[in-house]
Amino acid sequence: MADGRGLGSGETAPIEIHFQEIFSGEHIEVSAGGTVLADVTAKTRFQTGLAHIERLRLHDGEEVTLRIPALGLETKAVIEVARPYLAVTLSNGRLNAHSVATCPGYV
Amino acid sequence: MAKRSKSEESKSTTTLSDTGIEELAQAAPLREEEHPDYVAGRIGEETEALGETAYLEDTYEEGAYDEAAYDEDAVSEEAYEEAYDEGEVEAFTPVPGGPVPGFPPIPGGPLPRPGIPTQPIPRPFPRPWPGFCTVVSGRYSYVPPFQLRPQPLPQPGRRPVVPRRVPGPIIPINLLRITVRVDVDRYFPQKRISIQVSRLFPHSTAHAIARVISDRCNGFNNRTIRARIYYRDGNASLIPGTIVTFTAKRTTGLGYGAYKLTLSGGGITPRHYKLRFASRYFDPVEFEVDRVQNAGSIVTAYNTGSHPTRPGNLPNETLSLATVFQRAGFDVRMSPNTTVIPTSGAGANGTWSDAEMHNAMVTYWSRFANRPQWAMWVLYAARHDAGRGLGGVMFDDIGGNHRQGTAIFTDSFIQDVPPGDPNPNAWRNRMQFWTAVHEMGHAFNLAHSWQKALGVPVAPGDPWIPLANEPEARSYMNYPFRVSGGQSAFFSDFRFRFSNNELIFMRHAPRRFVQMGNSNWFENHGFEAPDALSQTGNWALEIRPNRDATAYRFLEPVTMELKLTNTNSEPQTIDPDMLQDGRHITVFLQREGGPTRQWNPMITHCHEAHEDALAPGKSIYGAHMVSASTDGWLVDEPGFYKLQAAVDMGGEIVVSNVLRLYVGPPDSQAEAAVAPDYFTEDVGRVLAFSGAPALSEAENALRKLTESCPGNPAARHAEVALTSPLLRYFKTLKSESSRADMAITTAKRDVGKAAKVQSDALLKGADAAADTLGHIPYFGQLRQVAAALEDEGNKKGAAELLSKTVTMMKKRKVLPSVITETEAALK
Ligand SMILES: [Zn+2]
Repeated sequence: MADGRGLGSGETAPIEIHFQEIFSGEHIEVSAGGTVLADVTAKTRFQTGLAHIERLRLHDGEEVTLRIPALGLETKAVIEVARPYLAVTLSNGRLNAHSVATCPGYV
Repeated sequence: MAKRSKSEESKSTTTLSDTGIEELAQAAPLREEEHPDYVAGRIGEETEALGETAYLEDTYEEGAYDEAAYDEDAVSEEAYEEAYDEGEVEAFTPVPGGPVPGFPPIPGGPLPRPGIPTQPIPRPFPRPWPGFCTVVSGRYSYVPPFQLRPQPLPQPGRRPVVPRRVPGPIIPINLLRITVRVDVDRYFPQKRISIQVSRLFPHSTAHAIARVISDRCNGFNNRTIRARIYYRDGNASLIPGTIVTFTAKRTTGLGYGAYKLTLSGGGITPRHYKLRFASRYFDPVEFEVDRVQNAGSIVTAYNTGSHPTRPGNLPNETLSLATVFQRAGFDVRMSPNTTVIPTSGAGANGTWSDAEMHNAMVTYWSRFANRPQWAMWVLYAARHDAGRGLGGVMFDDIGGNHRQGTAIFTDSFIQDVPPGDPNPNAWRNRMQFWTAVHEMGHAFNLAHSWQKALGVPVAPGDPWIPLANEPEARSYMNYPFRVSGGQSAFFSDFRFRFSNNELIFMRHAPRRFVQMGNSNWFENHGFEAPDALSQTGNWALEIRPNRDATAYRFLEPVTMELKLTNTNSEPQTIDPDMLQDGRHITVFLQREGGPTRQWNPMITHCHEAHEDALAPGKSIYGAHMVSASTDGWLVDEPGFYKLQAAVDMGGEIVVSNVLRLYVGPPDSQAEAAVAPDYFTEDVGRVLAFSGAPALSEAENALRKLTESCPGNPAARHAEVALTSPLLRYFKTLKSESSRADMAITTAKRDVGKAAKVQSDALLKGADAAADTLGHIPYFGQLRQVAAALEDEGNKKGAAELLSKTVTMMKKRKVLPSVITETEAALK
């Protein structure tokens, strides 16, 4: 978890990146402004549909890049503090990310 | 308010306590007969819609289900009817539906649904009573065709007992175990019949699932259900054929009294198995619910009428965790050991990791065993380390035995009621109840509804039926907030049930896939099986002593001859050594009044597998000393014994007659005195191996026997065993003091001495010696001595011995081919 990192001006807010389905041990790089913020290895637990939650502090409007180097896949997302949960999925050969306002639940 | 069913009477409060045992909320379900999701039986006939007709057409057109087989079936059925008359079939066996139905059945009450025929009730045409059949769903087990009936005991004595056939097998019934799960009515019927077969010897299992193609009520409680096999796992030869027919018939009472399974189709001779009703459920399971102290009030029951978002015709009733799984087909027992776990179990942070929960399971679950069992631990805790976003988890996916434990987190998002919900309290209760069942569903190896296609088989031949995803399913295994229209769309159409595919998996998949602690989580949507004694008429197996008397002296080793005959009209291929190699046969022995024990040969021969054609009526033979098995002596006390053999003919088990023999008491003080040293595992080995000089104590015991009891036939066995090593260069591994000193030494050969002792033992009182050793070992031993003499250059001695052997063979009417072969060696 990268804590209190400042990029540009203003306060940072807690953001959760939820790596969901279907990861099978891929190595994912989370970066913003050319700086790698986190390296994540994600493997989905099928009984919850969740692989990993990465907690970061980011600025509103900041763009993050998620990349799986081994697969040559990449996606970008703009952080909205009002929708602080970024759900990331790997499906149909694509890496997808979308932000939601409420914490995704898993059972 | 709905009436409560008698069997599921309940109360609906939860007692909260800080420590110790607490009581869970109870169910108050609707009476099943009044429940719209309950099918109470059948009227008339139903042939499945939606393509199932095509199955019927297929079978008839392709001839896969041939009429001839059906005719034979009918003939055998008459024989089966006779059995009823003879009283072999018990009347008034438990009625699957519970109480014997009233007569005449009350339409208006629980009408069988769905599938009430739109056509006039077909056949039989109106009888004295209408074609109404009550429920048959449940588990059945195979009843072996014969019952072991006590025989009048002959008076013990020394007089010879003439060999005779004794009716009834002594092979334990679990040699072949068949479990049949019939799923055509009660809650959420899936129109399936599954068959699980497990065979003890040689160990083999099989499983098959059949889809119902017709369900016929032929009259009051006379029901015939036919189904076509579409899934197989394990040894397919254990469940031959393509069509499964289950019949349930009334006998003398009002309820069903006799059940039968028939396998047919695919060109096989139909096989019939008499079944016994075992349970209205498919399997038993025990749930233990434990609560962490700070988990607050937990929801283990839910009133389906409490939240307004629900299907219009959903009955208003209180379901417990038990009710849900009972309706899924399980005989649920709630463990009385509902404990309150101190919060300290979660560590300093107060939240739970998977490892902490696993430790808690090991500590607090009264049934914890780390092995497959139909039991599950359900933990209600406040929060997981992962945070509020985790509402529950089947956490047990590490280590060797998965899916034993599951957890529900009360302080999690499942408490977050959507804004504006009309009944927040009921919403929370429903969500917690739903979550608990969901997690427990994972422990039954159920995947999420949108993940069904992910169940990848781990090994070839070990797959569950490939399933399609069911992203919109109204099932406990779907996420309510994931379907189109969100959670309110889900709950407005949710009937508190699992999907059909899930029910088929839970009720009918190979049990190892489903049973907790068995197949790993998400690996096997995979299987197990019973045994059917051969009824094909291809082979006959006989066990016989090949001597006039079946009375044996105390201490005398019992040698049995096995004879396997081709009873088919065509030649059949066979491994000619299969009765002798110790790998295809087994023998069961039972001292009367005692348990049945299995004889395992001490010697097994590996030989190059080869097959010869055996002409119709021809036989192969083998002989074994069956008194001692790998785990000790089976015949070591005076009394009556029963013996029965079984042979594995490439998946088909052929069983022999039952032979009864008598072992006399000690004849003298001397016989009684040698017994303790004689009935040892080592002596058993020396006798079975014809000598083992390394087992010197055993050899000493045999020497003592030859000296003190020379008249006992056991002395002949001892003389042969003690001297046989002298016939060959016998190697032993000797150690003086340590492993480093170990050396192979070759004992001195002394053919002359051995030949003298054995000729005396075998030819003086030759008939008695042949009787006690058994024909095959006796003549084999004589030929072995002759061969050793010849090898040593004593051709004259060898010829003399062979000549006496041939004379003896002729006298004892040995097979001409064997005599010819021996005479040839003489020339
Ligand atoms: Zn789940």
